[in-house]
Amino acid sequence: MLFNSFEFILGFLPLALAGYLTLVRVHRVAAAFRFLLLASLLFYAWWNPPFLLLLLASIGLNFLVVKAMTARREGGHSTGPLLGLGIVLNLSTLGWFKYAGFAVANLDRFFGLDLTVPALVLPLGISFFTFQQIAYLVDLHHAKLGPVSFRNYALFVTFFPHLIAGPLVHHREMISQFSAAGASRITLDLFAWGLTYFVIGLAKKVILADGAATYASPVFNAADAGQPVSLLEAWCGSLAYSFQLYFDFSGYSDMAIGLAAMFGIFLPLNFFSPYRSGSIIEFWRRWHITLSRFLRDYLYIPLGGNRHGPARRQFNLFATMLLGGLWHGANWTFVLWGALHGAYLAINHAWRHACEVRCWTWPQTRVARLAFVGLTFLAVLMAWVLFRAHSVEGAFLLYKAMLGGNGFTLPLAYRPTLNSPGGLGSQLEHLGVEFRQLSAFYGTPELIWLAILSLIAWGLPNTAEFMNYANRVDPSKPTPERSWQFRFSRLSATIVAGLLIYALMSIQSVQKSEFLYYDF
Amino acid sequence: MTSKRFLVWVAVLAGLPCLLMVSVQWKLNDFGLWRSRASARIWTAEKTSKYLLAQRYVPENFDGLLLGPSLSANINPAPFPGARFFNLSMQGANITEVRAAAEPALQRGTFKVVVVCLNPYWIKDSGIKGDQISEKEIVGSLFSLLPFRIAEARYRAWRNPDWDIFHRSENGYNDFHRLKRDIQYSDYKKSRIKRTSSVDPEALEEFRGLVELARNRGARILGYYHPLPLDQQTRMNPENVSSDHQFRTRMEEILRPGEIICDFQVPDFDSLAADDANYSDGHLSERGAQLVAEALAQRIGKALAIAP
Repeated sequence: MLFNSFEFILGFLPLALAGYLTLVRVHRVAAAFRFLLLASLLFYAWWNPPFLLLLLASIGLNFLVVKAMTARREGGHSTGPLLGLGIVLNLSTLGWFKYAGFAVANLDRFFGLDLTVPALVLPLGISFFTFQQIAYLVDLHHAKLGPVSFRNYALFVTFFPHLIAGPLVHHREMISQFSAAGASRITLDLFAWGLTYFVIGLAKKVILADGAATYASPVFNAADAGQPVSLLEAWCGSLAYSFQLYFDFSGYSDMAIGLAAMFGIFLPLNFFSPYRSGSIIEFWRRWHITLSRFLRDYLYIPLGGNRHGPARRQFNLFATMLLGGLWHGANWTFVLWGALHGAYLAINHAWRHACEVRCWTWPQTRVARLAFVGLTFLAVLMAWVLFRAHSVEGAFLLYKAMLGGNGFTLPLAYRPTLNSPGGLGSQLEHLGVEFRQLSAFYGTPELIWLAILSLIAWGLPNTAEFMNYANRVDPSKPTPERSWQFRFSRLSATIVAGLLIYALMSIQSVQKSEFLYYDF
Repeated sequence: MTSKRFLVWVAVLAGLPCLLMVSVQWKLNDFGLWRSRASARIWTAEKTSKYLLAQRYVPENFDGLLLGPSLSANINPAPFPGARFFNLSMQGANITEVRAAAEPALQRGTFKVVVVCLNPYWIKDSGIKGDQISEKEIVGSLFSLLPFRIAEARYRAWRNPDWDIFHRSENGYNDFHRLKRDIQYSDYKKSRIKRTSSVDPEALEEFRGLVELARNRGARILGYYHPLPLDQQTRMNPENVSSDHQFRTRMEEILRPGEIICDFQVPDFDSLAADDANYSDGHLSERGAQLVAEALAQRIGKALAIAP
């Protein structure tokens, strides 16, 4: 079930809320969490009922390993072998469904083994619930955890707002909330705050991301089909995709945070204006924050982190990002995307190191900051081409176009304007610029749309800032409130209602509107 | 303001307009979905509109169909004899999209004749390409952005009637010549990128399924090879010989002898195909479309053995 669908917004969500809140209100907290668990399983089964068995099997087996590890630890024995077994179980399930086809296809391609490529459907959210459970086992092995009930463990894995596409939650921040204290947090205030957060996320997804997709998809589809793309189309398409991915995924995360809050549960932040980053290191602290945290804690640090010198750190960074790329999908494009970001991070760290050693300093001015932000965004945008293209060949065709390999072409419709007296048309043509009909560039409306998206991404506060997320999650450390931040008022109610109506109308108007991260 | 009042405001401000919009759209019944309509026209979003009209309006008011991509969308089927024709051809559509609209019409109505434009363009790929054709659009006709797009198109048509390409679309005719009057084919062909089109096996199966459905529903199938400009025809592009041969072989497998009523790409029609005035940007110009409609009307009459 999609968050941006009528069956979810007008059917599942009101029923789930009604059931859960009624049980909490009559002080049946344990029953309320059981109800939430059942609702989450129903939410998952809606997509493909047989895969519910896989999810239940995964949770059941992991919980058996958890119980066995707890018993061994209490008996003073090592939990290492059981941890190994648990990790193998999880990774082999993920590997079978996600990577078997890729591995077989490549063995076939490179060694001509004539193997049959298994055509498997990728179970929704498998990458997320597998990693969450591995993290749990690792922390249990390191004795960082106390006992847990099956209900709480299963709800931690399946809680529907994060089940399909994250945030990649950590047991520490979730399980403690499935308690009477957690349930008592539900207030009308928090509910209204969560609803607003959800509506903002919904609007980001169906208005901004789906709007940007209109301009991105034709360009990438053309490149994947081997058709020549012009310089203008390539840059505008890549820019549109950068915005599409950001508003799509951060919109989904906002919706998840808002939904969870309506049930009195807080999810961690997943995005914090990543395109405002002044370096790649900063970018990964703002983009898919929960995945970066997971990769750092359960891959980079176990590999040795920065504890064995700069060369080893660079290798660890690169390997972590390479595997992070592969986590996103079984395709060489994702491997290359991960490798590129690994290289970016290695360069960024080497640069920082060189600056420290040689005492280089940079002026702390707005212009310098703008330059760093621009350079970082350019690097990220170039990498998104690999992330979006369906084939390496398609990505390289687009790179060729972006670098001017297909010449400089402007839309035919611009020629009369540019050729008007005083216009630049003839000079441009003299310089080799061609005028032709461009099938994947939509002219001024596209440029206006990209300008609006840029303004939102760089010029406006993000959802967490606007909704004062930090204050809500931890009222004990209040941050000063700003005049532009959300508060209950007639104006905000009107805006939320307007966004909700517009988003609902857009949902009904857009057919293919799945969240991009469902594929990962 | 308290959070309780905030929630009440949101519910009222969101709920009332939604209710109002659904009521108004149900009453307007733009596509004849909720009650019968003797006449309905398209304002914008051709694919969605034709898909919606095909649910009830087309089967209730027509007994002939013209199917194809944009190549045939600008042919006015009014002079076609033997039935009252609706042109379900759509700009930029492939077989999956045309089939999505044609199937409900064929299943719900009684059609005497289905005329099919034979050109690889709409059988070169399959699957819904854009975001315009979906069952969601049926509810969407009551509550979505579509009614606003229609209102905007009505306003534009009122401001500038010359831009209203659907002004005679009660029978599905798309008068997109109006937007292409300034395009001279002689100019266009200089900058045209030459592309060869191969046929997609899945699309071909969909085409076969559509033809069989029409036959099973008692319709007579009549196909014609579309009149491409002479410079685009295979005779002038030897590199296309094999793909064109493959396409024609497939068509002749699917259509029975006598069902292909006209080949506009033979030398008999060179006077039409060689005259740049009959084309705009590769599509037929207003004059070209008129000539083709007349020729088709004649062939359809002959095939159905109707006296002129």
